Amino acid sequence: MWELLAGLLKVPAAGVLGTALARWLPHPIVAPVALAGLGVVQVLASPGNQVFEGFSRSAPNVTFHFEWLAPWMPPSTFFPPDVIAARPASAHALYLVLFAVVLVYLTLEQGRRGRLAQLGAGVVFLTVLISVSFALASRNLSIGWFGLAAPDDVKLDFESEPCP
Amino acid sequence: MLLRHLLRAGPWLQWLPVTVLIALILWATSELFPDFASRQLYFRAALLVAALGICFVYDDPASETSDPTPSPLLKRRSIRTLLGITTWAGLVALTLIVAARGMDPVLVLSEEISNPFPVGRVLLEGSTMAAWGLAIAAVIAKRRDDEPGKFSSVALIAIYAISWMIPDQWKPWADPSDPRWDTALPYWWLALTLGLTVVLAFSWDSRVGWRLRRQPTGGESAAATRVDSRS
Repeated sequence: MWELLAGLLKVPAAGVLGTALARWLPHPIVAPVALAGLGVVQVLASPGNQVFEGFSRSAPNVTFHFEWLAPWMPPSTFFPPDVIAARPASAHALYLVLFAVVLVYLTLEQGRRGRLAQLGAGVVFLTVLISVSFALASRNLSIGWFGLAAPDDVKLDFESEPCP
Repeated sequence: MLLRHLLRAGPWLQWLPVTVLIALILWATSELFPDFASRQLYFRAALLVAALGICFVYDDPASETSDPTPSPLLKRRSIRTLLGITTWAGLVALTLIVAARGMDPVLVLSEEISNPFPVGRVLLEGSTMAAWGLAIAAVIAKRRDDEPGKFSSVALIAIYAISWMIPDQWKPWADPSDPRWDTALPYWWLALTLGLTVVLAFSWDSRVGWRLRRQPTGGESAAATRVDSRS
């Protein structure tokens, strides 16, 4: 259910992102580079990626759970979408809503007084993203095969429903 | 003289977002385990982004007024290409230096080297992407579109995405452990040659056929002029 909602929310979020980019950076290179950038974000957020998993030489003990921001998750034969642990669908859907709302605000707000409010909104949004990423990292969600290991509170019954 | 003017008027702004994204990719690459299999997706993405930048080198919003110059199209194109390739080469060199860190750069793979980085093949892939970007821009610019970069870059992304969906036996992308690594090599050379040939073929001033199609009245008068000159 949440995964389906996240899929639908992606459309307006992408539309708002495109509009905001066109307003802030009106150059034809921005659209293809943004598209390639989305692809890079997808690769960075893929489960099992080493970039944020404590491999970092600059911070070997710090793990940053970036997977929950992945635009797309590879489907699994073994797990239904709502228990893909690396990217909780409800958190991702909420992130998409917030992302779109903040972008709309940043795009529409004008005037000198609005600059400070825009900066504040951007900083608060980024702080929330980073905090949630660290909080999810502490739950150790991205361990296991392809990052699909379920957290402790999700029970998977493999015996009654054998894998196809 | 022409070089100086093109340096001033040439399209440079597109390299800014391209450089930013490549820097992000290279940062991520440097955090990965130093082997070719782990890093190949990242530096291929960086090479694609660098090729996106070169798609814009034929953008010339002032072409309406600057086209009737004594300099032939080939000369103007050559200087634009040279300027674009210089920047592109700098970014590609940076990508290779960062991506190959911790590995042994080799031109041709050999079993004697434990952790090789096949620079030759990577350069071939990057050059082909850039050549195709230039080729599409050259074809579109031939139709007197002043800014072919926007179409060329989108077309390049589309071709890149489609090339990953090609059936395995013809897919050009492979890693060294794959038997297709060797069989895909001729495809890459063929694609590079094709791209460069198209760039060259569409950089001449012979626009008669295109003009006839675009301007029916002018075309008729041009045809009449040719008939007159024969008689």
